[in-house]
Amino acid sequence: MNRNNPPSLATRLLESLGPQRTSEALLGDLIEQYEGGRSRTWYWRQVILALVISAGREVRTSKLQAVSAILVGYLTGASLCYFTTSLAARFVGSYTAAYFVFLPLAFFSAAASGWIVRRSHPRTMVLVFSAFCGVASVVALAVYVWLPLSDRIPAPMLSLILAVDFIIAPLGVLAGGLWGSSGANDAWSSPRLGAR
Amino acid sequence: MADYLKDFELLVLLAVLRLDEDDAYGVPIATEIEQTTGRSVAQASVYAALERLEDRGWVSSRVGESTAQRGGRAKRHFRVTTQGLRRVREAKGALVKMWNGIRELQGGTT
Repeated sequence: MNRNNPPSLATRLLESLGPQRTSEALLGDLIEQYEGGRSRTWYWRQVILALVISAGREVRTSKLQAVSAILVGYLTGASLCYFTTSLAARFVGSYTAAYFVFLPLAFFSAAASGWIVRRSHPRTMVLVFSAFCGVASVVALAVYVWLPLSDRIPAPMLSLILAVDFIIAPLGVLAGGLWGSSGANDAWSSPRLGAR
Repeated sequence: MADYLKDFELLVLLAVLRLDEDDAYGVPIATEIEQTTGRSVAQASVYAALERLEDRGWVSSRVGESTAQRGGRAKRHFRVTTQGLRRVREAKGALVKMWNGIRELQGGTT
């Protein structure tokens, strides 16, 4: 390698969550072009496009799997988050303490759902992540739009909800997905470049 | 799966045909399309199109060598099959037939 290595997180994302058949060849092409002088921004853009294209293909080719993965992912994450934070709420009094307890619980709940989906629906991880972000955005928007409700919610609690919806949950799902893919001895970690 | 050859898939098939088999892997295919059409191409969209074409038996692929320059990842070389070549010819024939007789498209370049 003649200069800094390509962004390792982007490489890891594509390896773990990218298109099943072509991720090795695609990664090789991206690394070759990066070594040829392309920027880190270009590399990241190509990886994100690859994940988006892969998710679109997943929707078209395996609709039932996609719906099932979204349901399993969202229900697991939301249930775990609800039960763990409800339990913790009995022992936590102040908002400051709530941040230190609720945010990690929300993160680990989302990570657990990402891990479960990655293991049970190996080809639909990107889709679930996108759906998670989409649903979280809709929920956050609904909170904003429903003014009487947001009037009743104290500002610290509202910011906690938004932090969970937009930052903690998506990051947790992603981390869980990556965690679930490491060491998984399946088609995702052993490229199937089926030559004909 | 639809047996219809999309615009971008036709470009990919033509790019593969324009390259020698040893050169017909992701990077040169994308470069060929970019240089010929002047439009920017995402590497992943080339592979998505190639996967669809391979599923329909219009291209075939083989795993090539892996080099340090590619982070140890193997290339995947493509070639157009006889069936794929027939589809390209049919597409060209259909386009030429549609082209013919359109007054606005004859003579000038604009």
